[in-house]
Amino acid sequence: MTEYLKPVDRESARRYLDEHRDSAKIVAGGQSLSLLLRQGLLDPDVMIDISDVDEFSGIETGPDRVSIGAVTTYEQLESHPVSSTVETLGDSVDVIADRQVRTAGTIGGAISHADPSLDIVPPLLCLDATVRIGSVDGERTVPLEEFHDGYMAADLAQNELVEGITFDGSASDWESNYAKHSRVSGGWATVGIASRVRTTDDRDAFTDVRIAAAAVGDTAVRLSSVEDALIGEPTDRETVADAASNATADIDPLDDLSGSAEYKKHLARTLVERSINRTVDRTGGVR
Amino acid sequence: MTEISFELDGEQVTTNVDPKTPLREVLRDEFGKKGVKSSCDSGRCGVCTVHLDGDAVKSCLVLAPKADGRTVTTIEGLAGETDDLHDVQQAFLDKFATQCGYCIPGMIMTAVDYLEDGEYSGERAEIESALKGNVCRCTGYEKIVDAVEEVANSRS
Ligand SMILES: Cc1cc2nc3c(=O)[nH]c(=O)nc-3n(C[C@H](O)[C@H](O)[C@H](O)COP(=O)(O)OP(=O)(O)OC[C@H]3O[C@@H](n4cnc5c(N)ncnc54)[C@H](O)[C@@H]3O)c2cc1C
Repeated sequence: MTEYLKPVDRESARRYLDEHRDSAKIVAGGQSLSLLLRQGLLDPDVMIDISDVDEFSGIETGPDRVSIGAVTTYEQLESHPVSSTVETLGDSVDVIADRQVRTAGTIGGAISHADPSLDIVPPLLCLDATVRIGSVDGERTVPLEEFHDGYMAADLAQNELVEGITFDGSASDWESNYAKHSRVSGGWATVGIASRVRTTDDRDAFTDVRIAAAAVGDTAVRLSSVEDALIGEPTDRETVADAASNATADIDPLDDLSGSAEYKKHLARTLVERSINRTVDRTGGVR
Repeated sequence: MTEISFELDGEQVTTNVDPKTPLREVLRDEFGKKGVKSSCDSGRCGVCTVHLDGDAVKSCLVLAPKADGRTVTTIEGLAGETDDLHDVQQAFLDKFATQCGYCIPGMIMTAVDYLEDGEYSGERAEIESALKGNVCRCTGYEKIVDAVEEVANSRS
């Protein structure tokens, strides 16, 4: 019979995981785990529920760093000011599942689950977020871009857990957006695109551009071909449309029930264009 | 087995569960709360929605040990001790929002969470968005939104 452990501090969470390693499964919100258990894909001997660990909970904002604890729920992120200041985060949380799933689902659970269609990942890639990973040996950090290292795969050893995610959210001269298409409202993304840009003071040209995509391959990815095509270029609609056509260079979508690979490539181009234009509009629009 | 104790519809209860069991099974099979419906088994349909410490969650996606020490409210306990209906239940009746009825317990639990969770505008688009985790296969959405809209307007 499975044992259910409920550590209340970081030390005991790390210790329990170290003792039980691959016979244990971490429980955060349980929104994805419940499905895996029901389908019989998992049958852990030990479950370690970390949702009451204070050190893993909540959002801290410093002068230049935003730190989100692993068991922070989507709902907590949605109602935190950082969802308005970093708009791509707010846009993304707004279109994830529904209010029930957002009440229970956590940021750390999502990132650990490593599904390539997760909506929260592209915004975090555009923020150059870093994953904080803990074990009895202490803490290490890994860029999110490297953390997801294959389909549903994360760079975690058997005795390691995700404790939080950190990014620089201070620069107020960035604007951002997340654009998603799904077959039903609240459904998983067919394709999702985050963009985050900085422009010259007169809004004439892009000085920095970050674009990332979900549901376009084994992992979410940055679209560097689009980024490179825009830096230093004018912010007008035509330039953006031209650059968006490069999106297909960086993606390798699958044919599946949500659409054919060809369709998803088309969708990615369209959503890249839409997301960047919306971001430009937020800077005050094309002059 | 893991022992869990929680407040269920105003009553303190204790039971032993396999911790892999979803809360839904405990509510229905152990405590006879058949008002908590069961359908898609994948978190999509919302018929099993209950309140955990006042927030709407899908009880098929909540592991039973998560209820330990907390308060669970189902459609059966929503109106409390009284024989009257909760005002959201009454509005569903008044607006003919119930067809086959299977989705209604979950629909109402989500609507109550939306109406009691601080600020709401009561605009139809916002109500539709709040209810998107609850599916009605009779497609009676217009009447359902009418009912929630009526309560939103009468409370504000
Ligand atoms: C009906 C439904 C609709 C959904 N729709 C969307 C959607 O539109 N967009 C979207 O992005 N997502 C969607 N999701 C997925 C949702 O984002 C995830 O289920 C959720 O965020 C996972 O978080 P959790 O806390 O529930 O994780 P859990 O289910 O608790 O855990 C998930 C996995 O990660 C492991 N884990 C959890 N936390 C940690 C940790 N800190 N360290 C190491 N391992 C850990 C667990 O062992 C498990 O394997 C949907 C889910 C459901 C059920």
